Amino acid sequence: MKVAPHFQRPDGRTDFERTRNAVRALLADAEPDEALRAFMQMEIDFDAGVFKVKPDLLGSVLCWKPEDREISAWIYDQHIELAELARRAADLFERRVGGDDARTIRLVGLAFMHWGEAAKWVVGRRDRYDYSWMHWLMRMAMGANRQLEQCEVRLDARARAATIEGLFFRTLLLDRFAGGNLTRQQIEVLDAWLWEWMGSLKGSATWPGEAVFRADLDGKGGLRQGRRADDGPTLYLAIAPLEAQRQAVIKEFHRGRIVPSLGIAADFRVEEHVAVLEQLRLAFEAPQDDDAQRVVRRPAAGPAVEVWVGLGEIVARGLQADMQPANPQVALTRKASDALSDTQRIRAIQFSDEYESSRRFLRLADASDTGFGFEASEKESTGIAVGDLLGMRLSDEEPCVLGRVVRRVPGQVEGQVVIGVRAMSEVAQALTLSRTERQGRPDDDDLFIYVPGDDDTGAQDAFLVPEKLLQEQGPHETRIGEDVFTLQFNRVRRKGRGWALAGFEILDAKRVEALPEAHEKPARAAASTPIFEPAKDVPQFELVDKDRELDYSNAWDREVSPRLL
Amino acid sequence: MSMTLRSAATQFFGMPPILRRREAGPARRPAARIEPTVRPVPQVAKPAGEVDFDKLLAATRKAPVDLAPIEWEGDARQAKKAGEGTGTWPVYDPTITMDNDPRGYDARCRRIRDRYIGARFPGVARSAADLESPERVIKSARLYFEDAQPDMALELLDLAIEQDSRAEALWLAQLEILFLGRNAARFIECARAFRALHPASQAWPEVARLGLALAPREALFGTANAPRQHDHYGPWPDLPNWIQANWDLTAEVVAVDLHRILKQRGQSARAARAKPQLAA
Repeated sequence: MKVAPHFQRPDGRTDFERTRNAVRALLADAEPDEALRAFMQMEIDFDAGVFKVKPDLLGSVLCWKPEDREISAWIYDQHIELAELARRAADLFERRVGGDDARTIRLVGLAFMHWGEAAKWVVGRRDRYDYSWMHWLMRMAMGANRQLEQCEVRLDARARAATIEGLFFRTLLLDRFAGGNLTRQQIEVLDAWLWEWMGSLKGSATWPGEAVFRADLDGKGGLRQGRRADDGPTLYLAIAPLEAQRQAVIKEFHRGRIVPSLGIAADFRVEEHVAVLEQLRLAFEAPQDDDAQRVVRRPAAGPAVEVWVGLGEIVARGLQADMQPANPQVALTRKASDALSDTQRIRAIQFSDEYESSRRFLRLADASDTGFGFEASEKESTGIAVGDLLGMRLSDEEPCVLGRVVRRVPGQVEGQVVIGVRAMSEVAQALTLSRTERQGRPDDDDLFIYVPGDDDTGAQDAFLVPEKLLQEQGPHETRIGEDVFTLQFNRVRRKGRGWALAGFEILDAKRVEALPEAHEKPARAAASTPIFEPAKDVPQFELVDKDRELDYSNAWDREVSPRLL
Repeated sequence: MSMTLRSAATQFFGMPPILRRREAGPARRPAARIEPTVRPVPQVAKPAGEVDFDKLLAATRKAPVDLAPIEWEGDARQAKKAGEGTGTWPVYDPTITMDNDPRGYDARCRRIRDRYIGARFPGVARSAADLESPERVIKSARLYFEDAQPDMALELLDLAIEQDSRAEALWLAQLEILFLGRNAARFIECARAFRALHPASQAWPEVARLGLALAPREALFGTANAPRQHDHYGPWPDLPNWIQANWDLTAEVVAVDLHRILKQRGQSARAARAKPQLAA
């Protein structure tokens, strides 16, 4: 029994590259049968080697180690090379044995399959394909009327069969979803479904009069939506059968079954599958006019924008500052610096350094009505992932803008990362909510982010809350001026990494004077934003005459009375 | 690794036990008990032309066939189970559930279903057990519907109905949401299933009334009666509020208030921030 190559080891990879080069040389001189046989053998070896490392690479939700990245990049490169090799072979075969020969068509199918696989491994890279060769091959297959021919391929140590057309659409669909919106596990789930849906990946050369994806066969782009305006060669893929397949997957989940039950995707978390279901829904429901959905992007001059990641950081550094005048600390620091002792000055500098070093600046690359595109180094973007909540202030005069990360892909330059952020609100504000049934916990009074809705009814208003809060059913109350509102979170409008945008209903509203005495205290405590509750165990002092004797002409001379030191 | 349980004796060198017990022979059957029997009455051939009263009486025991419900296969099956042929509407049988009852799933399937529900409906349900409160489910479904996510509302109700198909309220809420979404095809499908599972439901006339407005040619809903008083405020019939929307609008009014107050607060804070600061 032949042992699968070890691609974890550099020598295993080098051996395979050597074989690949030998097959490439063989293509020009050898007989078609021999060349095809050599290609197929190399493919089987490659699949066996990849299948060996794939569970480790995709099975873990942890970040990849550098060696994992290296293998993944290598696999991606090999798929591209194999696709190019199959494309060249198909081109040669077409001239030698004709475009309608079964061997030529098989090579076309293999080229499609490898381009599709590359699209899966490209997750996290920014490469865009030039699909002109792919469209040319598809036109060739259609010209020979062989696009519905079954092509046997081997993938993940399993033999599979699909039509040329099915493989073509699979590649284009994977490419469409490989733009950084789906994780590597999610794109694998999508691919597993696409193999199950091969029967629905049927094209038609004429517009079927319904919602469609389309491939313009005389262009070099990927999948588009809607009817083509001109009469160029186009292959349409109806969306309704795909939606029916999506619904069938949902029904299977209702029955407690994962689709497909075999393969690496079956071992991924159910959450990954649910995320793909949602992404598919968005894609299927997208407007059919490609131009309509493309929002105009305005290139920004690349200013460094301070961003905050996560609820806590956004509240502490972004929204609380909104409630204060801009840069008040500048005046205070200048005034204080002359009077500070050396120790105090060193402390202040240390504190300032720590604060500065923990700040994160990203370069704003472009902006549109719906979001922002940032560029950053790997270091600057550490810890920022798809689904994170981001706060940013585009300039000192502007309020804190909230958004969520919807895309993260490496940039054109090595070590650079492109982050796509969809704007959520620019009028959000921090608000203190208190549990009505206090549990004696530090977070009985906590700051949350109020996100107003677009309409004035308040029906679309929501709070950004930590995800764990959703497990609580108890109401909260907040005091704004003389009004106390009791509200309860009752739905989740959106969810990300550690946060949820929770809708709420108002259970009660009272004026403060209507509250009973015992109830009023916590309400009053919660009224101000932010809350700085005095520590309970610290001894209380009051000013006495001795204190009054001190000279406070210079307020920065002493921070605390010497009596207390 | 699979293991086969063996008797201890066979584990010694694979040898069978020397002193094997005599294999038990077939169990001796007890002597057949003689039950008293009623000798059947010999069938007397009726002379030709004479009326067969037995046959007629047997025929009257069968109800006239109602064509509309048996167009749907599942409906006919359920109707038969519920006592079709009694001449009246079949009585409510609490043991009748949908074919696909999750309570019969194995542990793995139940776990996957639970995980799916938790991931799909965060903040609403953590597992299938959370769907067993119709009131809570209906409220969540209504909120999804109000948030322009009718698919999520219907799926949540689907799951809850699968969990407990006897809960009439869930069916009715689903029917109302389908009606509000003007989804005629699915409304008819859902109404058929509801009719089969809850044939004695008091709410059927209301369902039929909505169904007639949505699909006037559908035989399932019968023919339209004369409109009742206050049946319409507009072109569509009044709704029965099976989705349990709150009649009291105080909360909505207060929500407007909260929105306004916070909007003003935000605007004043931003205005204060935008003011130029005095030089230090």
